[in-house]
Amino acid sequence: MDFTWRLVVQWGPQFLEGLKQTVIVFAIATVFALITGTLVALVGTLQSRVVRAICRVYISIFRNSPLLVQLFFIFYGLPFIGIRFSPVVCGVLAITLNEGAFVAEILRGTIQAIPRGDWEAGASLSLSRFQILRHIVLPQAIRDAIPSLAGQASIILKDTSVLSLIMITELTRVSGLLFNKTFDTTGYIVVAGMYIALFLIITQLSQLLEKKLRVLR
Amino acid sequence: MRNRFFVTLGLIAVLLGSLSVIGLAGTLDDILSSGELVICTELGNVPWNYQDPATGEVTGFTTELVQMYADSIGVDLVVKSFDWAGVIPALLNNKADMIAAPLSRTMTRSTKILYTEPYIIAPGVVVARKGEFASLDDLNKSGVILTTTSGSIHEEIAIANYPNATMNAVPTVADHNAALVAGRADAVFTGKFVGESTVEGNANLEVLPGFTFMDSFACAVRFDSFDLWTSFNLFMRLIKLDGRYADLYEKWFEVEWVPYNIETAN
Repeated sequence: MDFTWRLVVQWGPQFLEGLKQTVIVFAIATVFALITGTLVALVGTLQSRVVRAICRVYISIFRNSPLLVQLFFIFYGLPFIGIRFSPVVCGVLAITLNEGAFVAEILRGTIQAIPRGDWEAGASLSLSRFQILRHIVLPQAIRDAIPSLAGQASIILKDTSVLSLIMITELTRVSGLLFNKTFDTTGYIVVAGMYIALFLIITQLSQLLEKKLRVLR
Repeated sequence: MRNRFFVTLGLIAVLLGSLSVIGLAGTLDDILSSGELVICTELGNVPWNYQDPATGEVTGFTTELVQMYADSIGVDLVVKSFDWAGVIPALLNNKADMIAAPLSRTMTRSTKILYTEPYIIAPGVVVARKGEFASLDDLNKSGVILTTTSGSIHEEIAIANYPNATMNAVPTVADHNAALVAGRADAVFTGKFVGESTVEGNANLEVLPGFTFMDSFACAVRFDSFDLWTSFNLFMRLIKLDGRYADLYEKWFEVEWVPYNIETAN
């Protein structure tokens, strides 16, 4: 195991560029995954059997197949039917669809955990189903789901490393490039440190959010 | 008296056992005692190392060459496959005794591994979709996406000689072929024989005229495997002298091997 400071300095700009790429993809994919998961969870509470079935199929497909397979399908497979996105868009799309399914399941669980009484209280105030969801159920469900959603955000950060396989130069790819050129493991150590730092930031933000939204009982 | 005898016997047994552990054995001794020569490579490199789709057997020019060596020293050959970028780390981490792959010789690699005698000359070529580029010079333009196997010498050559284009390397030969066919890349830098094999399998592709560089492939061992290195180099000399190399060459490339210099690959 080697660690060479000279390489850290020499490859500094590439590390920062890789970090920027990782953070951008992570941020966009997290936001879209949360939106996708929330919409699917909400739609899944509708009365329509067909709509609920479509949601279940989406969740089943994307939770039960590897992200890598989904990514390669979007990146290499879709161009054969004329759909070609850039590597970054492919990466964001694959992570969004994959993690959105997990977010939907998390929120489905927390929505179902909201006491029946809250629904009935809303109905007794003549609120529509949508209004009950919007003003009563969903805020509580999201608050209760924050620890699990923060865990999903950490998983999304790890998922970004897979994008090194589809021509995106993010942190993992930079460490690989350094090793291929020098056979020195410095890059892996630096990149591991950067990922750990990002995880710690996500954890801190999650704890702050939990504290802010905590309801004293 | 009897106790002292058994204690002495035990000490002698421990001493003899530890002698075999204290590195009097080299890599070649380990190979001979285990009965296996373990090589690492990347499968999928036709015609060097690949799995025959009809039989599932691992074969190829390089595989057969090393099989001949294993047979000559009376051991079995075990083939371990890795992504290209993982082949050298696999050797350095003792996951294999030798790299037997289309491994180009570079000075950077020579600081970490000990190259054997080269076993063939193999120029680099470019594969592209038919009709898109007339010559290699057409590749050196902004907006052109090049690809190759990550960590290969082709990546270095492309970046150095085609600076206006963008190089996006991928892990394996299969990946860079998929990238070209799916339109993710405009051209693939690869070896001559791998390139010709790729074009054979896809009528929409062509090898551009000219070579990107002249290359020679060699096997490699760790620096502490000097005995294996010496033995393999002797093997290379002997098979070139006695005609076995010429037979192997003709079998795989269907042309007569004409050595420029019996001591080297060309």
